[in-house]
Amino acid sequence: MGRRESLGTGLLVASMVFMFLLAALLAFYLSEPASSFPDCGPPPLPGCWSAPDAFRIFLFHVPLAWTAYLSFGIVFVASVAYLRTRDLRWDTLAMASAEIGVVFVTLALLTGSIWNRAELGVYWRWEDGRLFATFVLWTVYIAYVALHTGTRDVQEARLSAVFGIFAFATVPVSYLSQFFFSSLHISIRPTFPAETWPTLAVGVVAFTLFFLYLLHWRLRIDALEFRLVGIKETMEGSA
Amino acid sequence: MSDMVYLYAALTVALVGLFGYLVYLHRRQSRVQSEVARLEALVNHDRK
Repeated sequence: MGRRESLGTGLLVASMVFMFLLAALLAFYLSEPASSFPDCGPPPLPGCWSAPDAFRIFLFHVPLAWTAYLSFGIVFVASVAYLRTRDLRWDTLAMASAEIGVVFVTLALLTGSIWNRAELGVYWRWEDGRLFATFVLWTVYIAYVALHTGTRDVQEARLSAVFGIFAFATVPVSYLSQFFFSSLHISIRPTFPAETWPTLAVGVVAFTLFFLYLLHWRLRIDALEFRLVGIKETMEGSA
Repeated sequence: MSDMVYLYAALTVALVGLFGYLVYLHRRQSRVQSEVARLEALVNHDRK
């Protein structure tokens, strides 16, 4: 087994260990009464949950969102590195990370909407600054992935890198929007039960490792596709 | 327990989404691998 295969297997095993630990902790929470998540009437009262059982969505919604932010951070770093070095491997890394990030942010938006419905009675509120900023982030990275497909040349890679750098501006805007705009996003509520933090930490580690495994796998597929292009060019050259 | 349905719905969405992406990656890898193997066999055959 080569080093790359060993790394992939190691990441898969480590992420699965943490995923099972997260599943076990979630199962424990499901068997517990929601007494530590006080239900004290209609929202949005600080420290109260109108849907205390649905509060547990938080335990995987936040890791999904964190992983999406991490992946877009990698897009930013790889885009800067590409512009400095002109090495197409950075461009490949940026694309792979953006694609996985779009999957994670889509799932974060969907799980957040379901939680919103449970807590506030509606799936989506366009006037909510946090939701709107995250929707903008989602569309920007969808556009990045859509524009970044097919055969790459240096000009396209440079444009993608510039796009990847500017697109990253949506990440801090999405995170900080809850402090600057009107938002009913859960994170502005001051109290989280203390016993949820270890589970949240396990979730963050599990999803980060799983993201690294997916990134490793995605880069191996890219390497195979480059090999395919090379074989085709060789065949055309000898024809 | 009435809001447990939202928890299960969100959990299902997350699991289906992640599993769907795994299936997508697996299918993409299989397609490229078989194409590489086919073309390499063709190149080796031409060399002989």
